[in-house]
Amino acid sequence: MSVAPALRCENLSRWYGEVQGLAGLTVTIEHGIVGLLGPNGSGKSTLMRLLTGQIKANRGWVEIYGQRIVPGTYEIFRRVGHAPGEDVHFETDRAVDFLRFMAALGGDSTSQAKDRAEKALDRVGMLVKAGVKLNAMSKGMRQRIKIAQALLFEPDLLLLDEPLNGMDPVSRRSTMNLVREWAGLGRTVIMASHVLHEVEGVTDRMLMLHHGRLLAEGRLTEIRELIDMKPRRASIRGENLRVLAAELLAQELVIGLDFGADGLLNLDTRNLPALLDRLQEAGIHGQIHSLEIDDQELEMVYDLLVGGSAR
Amino acid sequence: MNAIYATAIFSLRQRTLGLRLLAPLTVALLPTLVLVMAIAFGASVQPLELYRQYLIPLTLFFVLPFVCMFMMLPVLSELYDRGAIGYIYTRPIPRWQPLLGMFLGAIVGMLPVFLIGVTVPAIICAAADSDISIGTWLALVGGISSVLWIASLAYGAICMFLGVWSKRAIIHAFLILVVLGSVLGSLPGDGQRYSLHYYLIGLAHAWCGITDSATDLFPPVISMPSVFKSLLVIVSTTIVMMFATARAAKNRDVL
Amino acid sequence: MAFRAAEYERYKGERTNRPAWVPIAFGTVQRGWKSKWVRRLSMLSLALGFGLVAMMYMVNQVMPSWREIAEQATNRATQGSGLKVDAGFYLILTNVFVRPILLPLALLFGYDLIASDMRTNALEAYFARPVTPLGYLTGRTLAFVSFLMLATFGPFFLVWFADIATSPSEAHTDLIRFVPISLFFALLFISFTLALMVQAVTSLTRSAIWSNLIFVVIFLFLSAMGMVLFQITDRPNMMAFSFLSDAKVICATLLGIDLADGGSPTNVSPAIAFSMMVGISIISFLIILRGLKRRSLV
Repeated sequence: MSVAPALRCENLSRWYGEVQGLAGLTVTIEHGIVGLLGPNGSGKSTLMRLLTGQIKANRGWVEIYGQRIVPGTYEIFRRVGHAPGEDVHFETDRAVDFLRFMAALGGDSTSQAKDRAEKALDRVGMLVKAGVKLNAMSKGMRQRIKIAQALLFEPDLLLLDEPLNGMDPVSRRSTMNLVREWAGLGRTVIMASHVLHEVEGVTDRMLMLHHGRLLAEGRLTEIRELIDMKPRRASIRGENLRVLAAELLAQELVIGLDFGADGLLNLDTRNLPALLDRLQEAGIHGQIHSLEIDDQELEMVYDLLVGGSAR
Repeated sequence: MNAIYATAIFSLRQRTLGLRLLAPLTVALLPTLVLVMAIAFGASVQPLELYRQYLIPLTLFFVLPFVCMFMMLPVLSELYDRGAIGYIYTRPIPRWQPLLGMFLGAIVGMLPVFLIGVTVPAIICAAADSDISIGTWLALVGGISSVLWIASLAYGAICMFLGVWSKRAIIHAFLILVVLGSVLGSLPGDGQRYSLHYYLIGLAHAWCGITDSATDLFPPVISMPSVFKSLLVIVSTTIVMMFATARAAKNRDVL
Repeated sequence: MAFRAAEYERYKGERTNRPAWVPIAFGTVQRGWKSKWVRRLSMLSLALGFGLVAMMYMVNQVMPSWREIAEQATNRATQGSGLKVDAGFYLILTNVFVRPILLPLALLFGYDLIASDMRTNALEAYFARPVTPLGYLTGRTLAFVSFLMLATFGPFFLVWFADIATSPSEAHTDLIRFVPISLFFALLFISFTLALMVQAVTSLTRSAIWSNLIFVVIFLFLSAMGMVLFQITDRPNMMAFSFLSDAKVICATLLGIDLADGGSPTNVSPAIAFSMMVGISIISFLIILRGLKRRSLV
């Protein structure tokens, strides 16, 4: 294994005309799983494309295992696997043909490519679907095929752009297990997502992008603490809510409340789990008819980090 | 080499499977339609002359550039449009290798299209005029097929280059292949020397014995280029265009 | 915990009675206008019209009898077939506005109109609203045709208006009195056919590049084919393969001009030209409707 870090970016910037895709990103990733978090348009896919040499940087540079990515770079991609975010394939191909083609482009002979393709399909649990055409597959299946092609050559650096999009819960879990196993062997995985709990399921380390800039870098536990400090809001409808509200205030489970239109009771709390326990109790007794929780975790993180201007 | 071979097979499959061949084959068979209608409506021209003076010029003027555009432009445009080119450009191979493979695959896919386009009318003509020997027809079909195949290298390479270099490849291909190619090459005067079409006419003149055309699609025969010069120009164009394609691919963003 | 959906009040306000194709038509114009080349071509066409008007005005100021002078001068140069500012003059103008403007504009405006809706599954969204396939097609086609008419008939009308406004005599006014009505119907017919044909091809190919290629073949190759067949068989009706020739004959017929003018005919007969256009329209309409109905939920 090379001593050079898996990834180094220095002042990496990219514009699309007047739109800023990525601005001055400086970051070093040694190994392990790193979550790349950000809402749509934050620059995650731009970064992925820059890392894989699909687009050129307007300023700055990027190195993968010490090799700078410039036009004409290709050898280093033996160590990189990339599953793009877009739902694109060679639509009329069967899954196995698509992977064989990708393997052949990596230098495999026909028989080697077939073996490698089948192994990769098996790894993502899609071997039984090897003969199915890609345009006849569900989005979740195609996502797994994309991951399979990224894993073809046992890459040291695995770049996954929104890999869990469109997957059912079982596929999500197996994909997350796969990512964890992959990184467990000392490799590096960068997983882009705009869903906080997806990233949280596989790693504690994250890079957070916002409007093309690096907003935060660190551990999710620290972010979690920030989130937990911020009041959360639960909105309920039901019967005798004034009595319930007084009780919650007395028990210090809420720090504030207000009655909205049509009898809606909004509760602000710093201890959401305890509040939910109490509300569950009330719900069993038929006192609560509906409950909504403000679950915009990622937006909340952005609010915290950029002082309420994220949206 | 595996990468070139794999992309060639991929490209051939993409160009020829399903209904993909329908449009280029239709274009290639339009001269046949002209022939059938001419015979049906009682043309005063003999089949051999009809083939040499009308169908071959029509094939060189229209069928060649349009079949090349139909077969070559989507090779890359489709991949760029769908974003699927990213899969190919992120492989550990220089970009020119898959491009060369795609070029060769699509060229091979074009060969039967041209062959059908020139053989079917020849068979109909031969059936309509049994006085002409089979050898004459074979020589004609062989000659024009060779011209088309050699020409498709250069025209195909131009289309490949435009597919990578331009986001409006169709407009540029039309301007270069039809306006600068067929039209300029068919106009009398020195300007025709700057058109590839002029050199194709040189080959057709030498290999098919075509000296004039009743359709104004061939320039007046004043100074035909030699076969050597024609081949040199066509092969050089192919090589230059493929180098330009590799360079454009190296520098183009996948967006 | 017992949950139930939040109650809500149904909308009881007024609902619009505007036909569903109206917003589709407006959307179509907006979409077409977004294309840089559509804007450029339309502006070029209108600028040409205004340019001709300005030229006519200036020439009229300097030389009020310029029409006669031009006719006599060109008569001398062409031995009798000089330029006369009558319906024939407007037929010549179709070479300025139909070939270089109408055809590319139709292609640029319409090449991805239905195809993109099919590719992006937007049709399902339309048909989930109270829009029928026929309503959708009506909206798209009306907007398409209106746009083509604005870019082609608009400049004609400007030139005609300037011609009438500076008319030197009652006789000249009589000569060109019915030109705009004739041209309006001729161009409407051609634009309508073209709009349906473009949409039919794009709905079949669902790809911008394939639609473009097929159109180039239709307009160029078939025109050349018609010409070659005419040369081989001496039958002018072979020119029916040429869309441009058909369009010219339709304009000439509605303007009351005999293209053969006593000599041997070199153009397709009006009946065949009209039949070709009607045939193309019907086939295109059926192709589009079939494509749309396959996607329709209603």
